[in-house]
Amino acid sequence: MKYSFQWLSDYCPITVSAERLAEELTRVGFEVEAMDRRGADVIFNVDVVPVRSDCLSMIGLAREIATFIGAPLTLPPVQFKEVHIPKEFSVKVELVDQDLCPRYSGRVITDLKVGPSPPWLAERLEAVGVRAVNNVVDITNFINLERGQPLHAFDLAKLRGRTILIRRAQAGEKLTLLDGQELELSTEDLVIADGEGPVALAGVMGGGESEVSPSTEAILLESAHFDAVSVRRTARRYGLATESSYRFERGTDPTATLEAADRAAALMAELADGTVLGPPVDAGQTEWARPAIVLRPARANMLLGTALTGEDMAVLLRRLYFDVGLDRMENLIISAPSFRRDVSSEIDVVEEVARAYGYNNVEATLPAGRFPAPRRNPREEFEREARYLLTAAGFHEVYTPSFTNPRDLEAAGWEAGGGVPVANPTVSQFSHLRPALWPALAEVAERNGRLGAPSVMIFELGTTFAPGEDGAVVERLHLAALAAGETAPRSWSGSPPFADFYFVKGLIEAFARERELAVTWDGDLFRVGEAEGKYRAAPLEPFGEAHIVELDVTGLVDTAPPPHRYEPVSRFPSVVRDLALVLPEEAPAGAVAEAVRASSDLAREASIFDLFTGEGVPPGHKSVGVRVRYQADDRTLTDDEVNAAREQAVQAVAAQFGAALRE
Amino acid sequence: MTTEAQEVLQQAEALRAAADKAAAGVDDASGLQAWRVEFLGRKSALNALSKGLGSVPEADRPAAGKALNDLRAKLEATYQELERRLHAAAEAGPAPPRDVTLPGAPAAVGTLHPITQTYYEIAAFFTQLGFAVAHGPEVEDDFHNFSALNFPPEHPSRDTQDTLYLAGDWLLRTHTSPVQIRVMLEQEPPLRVIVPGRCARADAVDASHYPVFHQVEGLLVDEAVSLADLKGTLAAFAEYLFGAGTKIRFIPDYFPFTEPSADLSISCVMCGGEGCGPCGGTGWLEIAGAGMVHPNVFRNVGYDAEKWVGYAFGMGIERIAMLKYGIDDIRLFYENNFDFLKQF
Repeated sequence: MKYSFQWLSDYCPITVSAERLAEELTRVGFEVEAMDRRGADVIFNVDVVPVRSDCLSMIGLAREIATFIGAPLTLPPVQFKEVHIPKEFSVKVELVDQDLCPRYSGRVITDLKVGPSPPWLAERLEAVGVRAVNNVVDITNFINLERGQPLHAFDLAKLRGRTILIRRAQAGEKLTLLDGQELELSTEDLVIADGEGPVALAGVMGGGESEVSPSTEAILLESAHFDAVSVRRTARRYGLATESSYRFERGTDPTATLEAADRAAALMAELADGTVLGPPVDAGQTEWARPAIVLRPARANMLLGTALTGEDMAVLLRRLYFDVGLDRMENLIISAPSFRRDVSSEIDVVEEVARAYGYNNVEATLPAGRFPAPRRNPREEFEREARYLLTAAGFHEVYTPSFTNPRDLEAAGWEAGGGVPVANPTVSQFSHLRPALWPALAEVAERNGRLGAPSVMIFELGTTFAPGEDGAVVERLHLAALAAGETAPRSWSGSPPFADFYFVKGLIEAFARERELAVTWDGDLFRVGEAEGKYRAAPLEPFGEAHIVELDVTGLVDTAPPPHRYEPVSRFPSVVRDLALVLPEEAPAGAVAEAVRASSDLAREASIFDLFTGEGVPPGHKSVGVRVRYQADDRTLTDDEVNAAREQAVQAVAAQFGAALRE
Repeated sequence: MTTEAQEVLQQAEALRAAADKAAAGVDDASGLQAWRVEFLGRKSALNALSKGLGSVPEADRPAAGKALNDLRAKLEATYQELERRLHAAAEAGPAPPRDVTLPGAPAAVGTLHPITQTYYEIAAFFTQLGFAVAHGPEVEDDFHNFSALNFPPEHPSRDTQDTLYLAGDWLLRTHTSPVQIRVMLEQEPPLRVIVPGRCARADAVDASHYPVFHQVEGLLVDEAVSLADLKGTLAAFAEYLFGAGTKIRFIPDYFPFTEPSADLSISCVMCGGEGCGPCGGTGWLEIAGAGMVHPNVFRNVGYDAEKWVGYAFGMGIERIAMLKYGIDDIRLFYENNFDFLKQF
């Protein structure tokens, strides 16, 4: 809300500079977000937290200022001549739905001369961004800003009959608002109705029919206390947000309605020639008890880390307009002022003590107390491991938004109408939750390629979303990696190889090795232990193709890898032998190498070091070079042993795959 | 086989290994000559072994003899291979002299995203103070995201959250605070836990807003904890993350789930507190919201609100990364351009 330094000064002599005042307000919880000079005045834009609705007014904030700069608070006198109400102007108020309007106060004012406001009044309003209209309307706005009590003026001549009903709307009732909008009302809306129908949407906006006009001579001035939730619901239902609804939905002071009406009436008498009739309208609950709250000074000190006495606390609270007494246990018995509807329990009072004492003055200590037993977090450990492995492999981590849209989903091969829609997206390209990570990775790769990157190696660890049962959403943790272009930084000493299927497959194998899990492949689909993944080759300029693997790691996160056991290391040298095998083209080379390794206990490792077809290889065949490492735990192998093991391998692959040694 | 014969075989094998090892270091003609003298010369160990064959019992002599012959053949082959390689190298001409200004072969090392790096720094501080890490879902319900956290139904405090809703009652969590509730429903105090995670808000996309962002939440529950402890924790945190001498400002704020509530600012990292553009001339930069856990939150999870007290805080990781690295546009985190990523 906007506050004017000069206007605030009407209620409290501010002896400090505007800058100092801004600092002081911020220090006690009213953050000054902006300060703008306006002639001799300074306008503060203050962020008032939702529970401090008592400060959504000049007097409200002036009360705080008076407390914190130590100045007196002077409220304007309310003086006017009251004329006994003649019968023809007497208005009967029927509070039908008192649950939504606990109190309805007001004044009837006649003989008004509607005209421009005096300059001081127009200036006060305009300083804080409210347009001046005419004296009657301006006074209602002025009182709202002065006291935070929204007022509404009905043209008495336009009210049909002399009875006002405060009731829920009936089904099908309509109301045309001040702004011309016609509403079909809900039975949950509270309205102000005259003899024939609704004339105002209670606490939100008045109706156009009964609006004050230049020819208005008599008004009913309404100053009510409406239920916060009801006003909020109604305002939201019609997408309305007014100065009035803003205050009512944050809560107003029910004890202050009549005084606000009287202060407005006094100004109308003074500035618009009005005659104030009496007695005033005042229906509903007029007495409001203030609950007693017990504050235990020891508990407050424990919570704040302070060493204040009960008396210290009492002094601080009294400065904030609290009544403070003592009980026999030396506890403070507090009653909050009527405008502090946010203070209703001990902890609320503790906060006020802290605020008045000054957060600045609270010491800074580190918590003592008990340390809970340390707990492992498998997901945290998994994420760290995966991230370090992928960065060590040369991949850069990316973060992409959790959102996507139907067009991108379809482009990525999803069926239309699928996915999890966001009910109220703010950005159209973010209308759905992402079902997978890879489309966004492809976008990142493309953007970087366009910017001239010769190589893209990226990964993301993030949540994906799919529709579940009964409207629920299934979250899965995915790990996706993409490689396109060169697979290592360029160097003067040679060109790095290009990314391909085997490059990303190698990454998956390294990841699986880390978790001690087996990898199995079936076409583009693969499994790492129980986790399912998919490989995709996506066309991607300027690289030609991007190679992407995406793995659902949800199940891996909560299953810690099996305890890692050390395997004894042989102290005897190993011997390497190469097998150049000629195989039918369709023979699976990986299985051949595995068969070689399995052919003898002495074969510790068998890896493929060479693969080719063409020259020297019969048609329909390929040459596969398998390098085998032989070793024993208890001795140095002799040539004869190694040769025998090699012969076993040759026979095994000959039998299983029709392999022959290449001459 | 006799011990003597085994001795010969073992020595032959050791010799083979030693010769291979030495061969790897041969890079010029004199090295090659020295290698030949050592392994194939008259005074070589192989010759000595051959001469000693006489002491091997006759039955084993042929086998031992064959092993030595094999070894000799292998060493001859190695010598020829070395000679061929040296000859080829000589034809190719001498390598250019070493130029230390030439870049080394680049090591292909990836980078962690700055949000991850910043989170790991934050986590390092709090784990030293005994905080464990907890996670929770990104899709939440009203109970965990709002009501259990003491947001009254139909209250304007909910408006400050700019919630993105899904079908039914589901929503995207607007903060990581619902995980406080999940942790407390599962575990008994005392508690020290931090919660990292992705959150979402109905925000437009501009230099300082993005519909997703990351938070780290902290919760400490014990029998005696104070606002002073909270202030001290966050002051130490500010110095840990932003350097010694970083000052904090602790001012009242409002959050439904804490009371008293506070807003933590650090002295501006750009101007050191003098007042500049990024800090709006105030000299302070907000980095976290915090407060003492509201007794209603304890009641909502079935804790004894009289016995247990606690503090909680929450901070945006992007915000902290932006201040720490001087990043002026939040969108950079989600564009992932290499020129950006590779700086971290």
